[in-house]
Amino acid sequence: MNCGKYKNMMPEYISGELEDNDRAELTAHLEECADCRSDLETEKALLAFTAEEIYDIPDGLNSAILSKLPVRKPSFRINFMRYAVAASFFFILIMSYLMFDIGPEPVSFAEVQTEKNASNYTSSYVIGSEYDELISYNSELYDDDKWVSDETGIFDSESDLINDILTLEELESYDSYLSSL
Amino acid sequence: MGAVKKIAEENDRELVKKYVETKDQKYFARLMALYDKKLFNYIVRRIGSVENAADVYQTVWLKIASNLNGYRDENKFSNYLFFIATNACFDHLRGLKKDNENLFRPVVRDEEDGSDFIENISSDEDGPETENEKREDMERLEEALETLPDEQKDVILLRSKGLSFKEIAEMKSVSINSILSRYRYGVDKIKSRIK
Repeated sequence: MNCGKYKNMMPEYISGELEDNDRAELTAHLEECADCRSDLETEKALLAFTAEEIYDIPDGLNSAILSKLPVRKPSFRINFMRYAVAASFFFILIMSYLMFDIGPEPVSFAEVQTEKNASNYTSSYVIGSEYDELISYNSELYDDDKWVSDETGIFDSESDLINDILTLEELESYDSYLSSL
Repeated sequence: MGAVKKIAEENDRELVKKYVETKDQKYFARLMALYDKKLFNYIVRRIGSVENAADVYQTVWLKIASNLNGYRDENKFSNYLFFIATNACFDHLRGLKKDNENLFRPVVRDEEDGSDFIENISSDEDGPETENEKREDMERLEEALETLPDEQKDVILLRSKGLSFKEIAEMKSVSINSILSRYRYGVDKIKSRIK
């Protein structure tokens, strides 16, 4: 009897993977062959024994392994996106500042002087004691600075400086002189 | 192929894909949960030591984690896992050999209480006599398995983990006939020892 052929069928017979016709052939053989029946039982016991999961994984081992897993560094793409978002916010902030006048309004030196001149013109229309008070106040202001400018030819005396109504052209001319020194 | 097996494979692939894409530990943890006990028990039996099995087990999972990018989708994950495990066990045993340690130290003792490991698998429903018989049978099987050459033992263990002979042959890069022969010789030796 060719038992070798049937023994080779046994693993698949045990796992249920043997095709129907082979299974039928092996079953018929097993009914006749006590030796093969014994072999089949031993093989079943062996596979059942080796398949049994009797050893427990030590506590905390899986967690320890998970904690050692490689961590993905942020990719160039992710980094790029982060910088792009930050730049976008900055851009929006700048544009808001420029378009909607958020924050203090920038002023030019010329505008300041024009306002100052306007206030001087106003003083021309002040009469009586109010005018004297204004002159006295202006004198106090300019005394500290000693804007005496005989040499310039623009202002003849301190009193001229105080009393004259300075135009924008005069101021710019004075600034030019100072910067040429 | 059974429907359950097929679903399990698709689940494996999905988890591997998600882990590779995101490196999120939760996907790897799920993958581990599917195979952890099966893998640990394979390693214990393969190397013959519960204590050393923990190190090998850790090595296997860390290797899997760092090499998953190279895992090809057409292969079953379980085959890939046991391929790495087989190599890790081989490396471990080779290291022991170098240290002149006993390669086939049987693992039949529970290290904590010294009781026989068979007690852990005995059923509560068994009577004392049946339990003793079962225990003796298991001891004989364990001892017989331990005496097998590595190649034969490995085929039997991998077969018991659900791998087909064809898959084992591909994993070992040998012919299917060679794997069938190793299995047959191994089983016959065990039969002759326990009879």
